[in-house]
Amino acid sequence: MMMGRPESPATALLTRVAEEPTYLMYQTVARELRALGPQALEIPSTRHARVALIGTGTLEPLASYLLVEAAQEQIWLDIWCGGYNQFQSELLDANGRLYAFAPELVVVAAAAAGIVAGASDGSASEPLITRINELSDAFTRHSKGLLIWHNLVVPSDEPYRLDPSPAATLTTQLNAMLATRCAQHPQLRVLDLDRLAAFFGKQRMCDERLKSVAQIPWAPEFMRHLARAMLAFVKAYKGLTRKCVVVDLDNTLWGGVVGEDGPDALVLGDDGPGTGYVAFQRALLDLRARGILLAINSKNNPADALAVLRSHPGMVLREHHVAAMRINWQDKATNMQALAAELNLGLDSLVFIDDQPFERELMRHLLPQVLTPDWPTDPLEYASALSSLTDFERLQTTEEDQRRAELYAAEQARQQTQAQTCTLEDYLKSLEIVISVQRMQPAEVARVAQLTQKTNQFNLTTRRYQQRDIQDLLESSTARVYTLRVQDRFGDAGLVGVAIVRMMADVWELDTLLMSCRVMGRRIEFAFLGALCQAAQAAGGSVLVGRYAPTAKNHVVKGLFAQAGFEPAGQKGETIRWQRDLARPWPEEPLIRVDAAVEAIA
Amino acid sequence: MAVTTDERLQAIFCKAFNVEQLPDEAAPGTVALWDSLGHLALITELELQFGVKFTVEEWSQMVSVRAIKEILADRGIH
Repeated sequence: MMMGRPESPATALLTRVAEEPTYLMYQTVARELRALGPQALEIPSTRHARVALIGTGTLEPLASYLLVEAAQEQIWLDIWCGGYNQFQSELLDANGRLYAFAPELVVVAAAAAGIVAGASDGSASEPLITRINELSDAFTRHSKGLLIWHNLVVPSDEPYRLDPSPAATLTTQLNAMLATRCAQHPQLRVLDLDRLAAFFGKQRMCDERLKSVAQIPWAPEFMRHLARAMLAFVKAYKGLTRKCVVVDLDNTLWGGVVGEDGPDALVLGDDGPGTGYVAFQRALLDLRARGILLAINSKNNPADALAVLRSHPGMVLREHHVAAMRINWQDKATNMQALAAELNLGLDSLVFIDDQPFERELMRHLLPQVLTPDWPTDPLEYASALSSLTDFERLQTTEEDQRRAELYAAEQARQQTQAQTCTLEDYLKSLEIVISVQRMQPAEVARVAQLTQKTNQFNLTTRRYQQRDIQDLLESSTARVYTLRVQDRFGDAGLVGVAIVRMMADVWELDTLLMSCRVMGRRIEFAFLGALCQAAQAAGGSVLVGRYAPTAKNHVVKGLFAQAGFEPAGQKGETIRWQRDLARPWPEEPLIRVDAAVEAIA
Repeated sequence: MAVTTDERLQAIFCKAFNVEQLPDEAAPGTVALWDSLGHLALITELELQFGVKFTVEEWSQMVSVRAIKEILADRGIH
């Protein structure tokens, strides 16, 4: 539906369910997809995940919704459903079927409600939280995955009651306690069922007949929303999220065609039909505040369009909010590739929003990696269409995420400097780059894990690690994690590189070496490797070993080790091993100041 | 040509159970996919297609194709 695939039997199933999204169709299509398997949809293994659903009701119908919603977005899920009302023993039993399934994500569906109902004293919140703590602790002992608790739906069944409802007060309290608890551990998260139910309509979220006859806790249509909420967790956990929204201008960001109608005739403002466009712009700015970049891809005269961006009184979104733009008469696919190159992002990091079906189809056809969602015709629905996407979620928002838009503004200033200076050396010198290489601090664990999951281009081995894996390395005696921070005269890029070394006697091996694409092309990698060599030598190492494992995206680092004076030392499959004798002095990187004492990092 | 109720029913059975033509005697358990969850999927589809909402009691009475036809007839759907 969204990805512009050719029609095969499996994609035909997905088209059917998209056209006829009934309960029967979801169950039927899920059954047939399971029989066909992921290869029928050509879903690569990077887009597979193992999900366990456990809880208090009959969960198989929800599993079908989840499987189909994921497949619609080219994600394959192996789903295991727990036994009816067995979730407590499943979480506690280290040798049980839950952990034998090796789930990456475990969703505890409607379980808090089950514990409340089962409590002898229905009003006791302390015992409930104690129980949730016990179950969560057992999970983090037995699994490295993510445990997602549904919270409680605050009851709304006495709409005309004047005094506070005790049940509503209690569930609100419990939800707050659950949120606090889950915020304290990287493996615990809350699925805000209460908010989802309020959005959908609490009166309609349950079909009492399905509940009484089959113990299915949710109405069919609600299960579709619930599946999408779970899918947002899957995407965040697997790093399948998008980093930039690219929008068209005429009739997308404002109403009317500026080149024909003129700026004064545009439909845009705080009352009347223009409110839809303003709301959409506000929603885009909200995404920007969460670290998502905004870009423009429009067929227009640049002068006309820029005038609106700069001075139209109805605009909320302004030129300085936009990280990159292509406003010209080229085809939009070519523009999209140029935007991706300028922003140093893969096409699979981009979302394209355009009111014209023709432009959307073209994009899906030529650049299927770009997510091009169907788009409503009524501008009043634009903001909600944007918020219905599940592609921008993160499990953890790091400081770097929040500052991203600012970082890109500094990058634009840098590129202007580059245009003014003649040689690369002059340019690098003018940047006054300072790098700092340090042993990882506990506060950096989340960012380091995030970089291993998201970095595709400058990544020698592309090994993905969860936060828990990185946490474990803090205490390891045979492995070390080094972080790279970079700043220059335009700003502080923050934590942008990671090296994980495994030490076997005097051999130091680079398990992971990666750097954010934001700082590529400035010889920083050589200064980083130099600092690592120094650290290894100071700690008694005599050889530094690195590996290059090629992927579809990391060609850019193919020659790195050769350029850095490593010798080839064997090949296994496509992976090439390199090594460098640490007795050989590391050449100076005169344009970059390394701001880390050897003693501090060794 | 107008589609008869029987044809609409058979189309729903086909979608639900992947079968060609179900006789009146067919019942849950006699068709591979007509298990308890299949039964619920069938009922929700009948409700959608015929624009009715059955009671739980009617659900429990739908023990064969014939019984389904009778309950639909009781609702004025022939």
